[in-house]
Amino acid sequence: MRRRPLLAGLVAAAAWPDRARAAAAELVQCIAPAKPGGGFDLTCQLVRDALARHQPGSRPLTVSYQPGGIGALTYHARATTLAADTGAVVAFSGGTLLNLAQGRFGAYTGREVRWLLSLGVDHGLVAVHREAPWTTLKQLMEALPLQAQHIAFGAGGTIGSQDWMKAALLARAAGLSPKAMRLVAFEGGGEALEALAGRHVQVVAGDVAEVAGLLEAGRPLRVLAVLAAQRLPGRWARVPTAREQGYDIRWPILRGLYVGAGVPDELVRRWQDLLLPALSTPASVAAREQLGLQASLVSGPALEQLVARQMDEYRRMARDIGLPPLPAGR
Amino acid sequence: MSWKHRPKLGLRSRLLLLLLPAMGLITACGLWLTRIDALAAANAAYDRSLLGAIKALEQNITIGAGGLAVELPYRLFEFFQLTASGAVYFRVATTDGLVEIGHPGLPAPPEALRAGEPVFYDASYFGESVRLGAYLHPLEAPLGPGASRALLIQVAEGTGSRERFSAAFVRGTALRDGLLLVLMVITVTAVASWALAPLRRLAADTAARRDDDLRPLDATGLPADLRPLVDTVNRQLDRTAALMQARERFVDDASHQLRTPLTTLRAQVDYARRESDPERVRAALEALSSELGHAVRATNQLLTLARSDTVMPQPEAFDLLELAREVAVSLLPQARAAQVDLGVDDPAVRMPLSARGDRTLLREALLNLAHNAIGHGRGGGIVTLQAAADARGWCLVVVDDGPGLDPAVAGRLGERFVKGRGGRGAGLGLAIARSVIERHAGRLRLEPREDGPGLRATLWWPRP
Repeated sequence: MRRRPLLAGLVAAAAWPDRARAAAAELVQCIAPAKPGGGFDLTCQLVRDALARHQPGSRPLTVSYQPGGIGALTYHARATTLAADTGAVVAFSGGTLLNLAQGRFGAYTGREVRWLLSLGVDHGLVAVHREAPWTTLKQLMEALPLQAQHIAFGAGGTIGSQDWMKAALLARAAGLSPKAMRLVAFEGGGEALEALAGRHVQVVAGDVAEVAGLLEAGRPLRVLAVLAAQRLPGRWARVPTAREQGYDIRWPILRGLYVGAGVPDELVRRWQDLLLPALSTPASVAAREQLGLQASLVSGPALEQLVARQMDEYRRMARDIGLPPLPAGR
Repeated sequence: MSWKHRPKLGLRSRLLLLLLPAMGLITACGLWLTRIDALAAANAAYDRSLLGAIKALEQNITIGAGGLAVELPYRLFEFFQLTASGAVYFRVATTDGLVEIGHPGLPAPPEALRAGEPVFYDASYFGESVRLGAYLHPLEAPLGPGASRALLIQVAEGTGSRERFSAAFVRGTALRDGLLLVLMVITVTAVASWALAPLRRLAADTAARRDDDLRPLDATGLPADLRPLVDTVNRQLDRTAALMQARERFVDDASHQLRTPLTTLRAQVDYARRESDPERVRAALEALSSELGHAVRATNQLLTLARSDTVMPQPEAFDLLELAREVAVSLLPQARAAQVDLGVDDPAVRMPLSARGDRTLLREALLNLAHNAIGHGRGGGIVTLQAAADARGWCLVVVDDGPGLDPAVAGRLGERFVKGRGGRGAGLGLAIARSVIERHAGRLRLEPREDGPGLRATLWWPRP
């Protein structure tokens, strides 16, 4: 059993020295392509914690941060370098797919990297500062067209990102053109929420999972609505959905991991075999549900289909909301 | 707007009417320039704080683990927002647009940026007029293979505060300029009054003069600009005085010249009336006729002299020799009666000798000189008329072979009623010649002949 992979590794080493080195690598690193505190960070932490619980005593997974265009730079590096970053998985979300679908990461199709697994579905929410004048979504929506100039949306990512999409859907529902909506772009949802806590922006259409951690930590935030079909379980049970408040806006967000194009099948399989059981333990599922994630695990061809379907859906939505065409060269 | 249609406007009003719009225009231009300067100054000052914000952002850019992060200096932005008293916007983006942080869609700089050189420009963001600073931050290493190597940092602020600053500045300047304009009007009015005072004094002095006061106007204390006017008026006064003098002289001349022959005629008529002898009556009538002839000639001379004194010469081109011949022909009867050989010195080649002057007056002058030569020359003598021209002028000459000048009157010849020895004339011939030639700016010269007895009278006048 041990000889075959080694032999395969040697054979591969003769043909693809880079791949050979990758094949020998252990999974050591989870890359969150944003600044700490956002959804990517959370994904990595969930994976790290699950692995630590599942294999106590093993070397803990390190989480490293590579902010830059909400994953754009990281995706660019994974897609273009065959040089496998040894033993690294990268966190992605629906936002990554949305950006890819719009070509916002460059001329990519989504098939440049390998989608490893999805560990759950997150949902969007609408958060304001705890001392903001709006206590319900309706109040905010009524104020929005009147004070567009003074209500700035913080977003992880610029125009076209998923935070922007959520904000644009809200603005449109409030009767304000998404073009007239004020936006401040940040490097990830974590930064946007910190800016909200510091009252540098007024609203963030963020994600449930990342806000949960901040609320735990006592940050001065107020969630007006979750953008899910029904109320979410656990601590989110008392937060009404947007739909309940008369605005049918839903925003599910896939959360998962991908690896670079240079990582061979062999290694992908090995990592899946390592990660899927670890994420299936009741403790790990509970940890995700605690944050408000629907803890469904998807991988393999099913995940690839899901990703393709999501990207099609996002393309349609982007057309629908009237996103400004991307400048040439992006 | 022609000045001709505003004859009532004084110099001061004209000065103000011209100066005020000009000053207004200059002030307006000055204000406009001040506004530009103030905006430039405000921009320079406010741009510096924009650059400060840009630099703060630049220092907060971190590149690690293949990513890019910008720590947003919120505190600084808050201070900045306070000083800018308006909204502040910022944007940090890679030049390929993959990464964009801050306010999306901030207007791009109008020109290509060079690394490390900030560019400031005005633009509009969400309908708000903003001032932007843009700065290119070069990255030591590209963020990924084929990714951009530079970050564009933009900071924008509303232009409200800098416009308020320059508006206040312009308002202050407008106030100052308005005050200066008022001072200028007052000064111009005062200075114009002061400068025009000598003119008013001159007018008052002139108005107070007696009608027959022909003394020149007093030019002392008058501005240099008025001198030409006063000088012209004075010359006019001089001419008027000369004219008046000439008239008075004519009246004197006429009374003297006419009274004497009339008295003589009266005496001769009385004598003839008392005489019964027809022979004597006839002799008296002969004498009467002769005396009348003298009176007629004297009157003509008097009128010629008066004309020469008072009428401006009418210069024309004429032939000198032809004039001399004409004079000779007209005097032939007298010459024959006095048995004088009267002739014209003709050059060998007859050609016109063109001259310029008042022909009528010059003819009269030559006629009188020739007449004198016939009358005062030697009986049976020779009188010759000559004409000549040179580069400087022309001359007409009468030469006789008589006794020459009477020493008793030689110094006074040419004065009126001064007669040479045994003269039968009125003593006006030389006076006429002298008057005419002086009106031509020339000279009458009487000198003894070099080649024997006789007198040479020369009329010389210069070319104009």
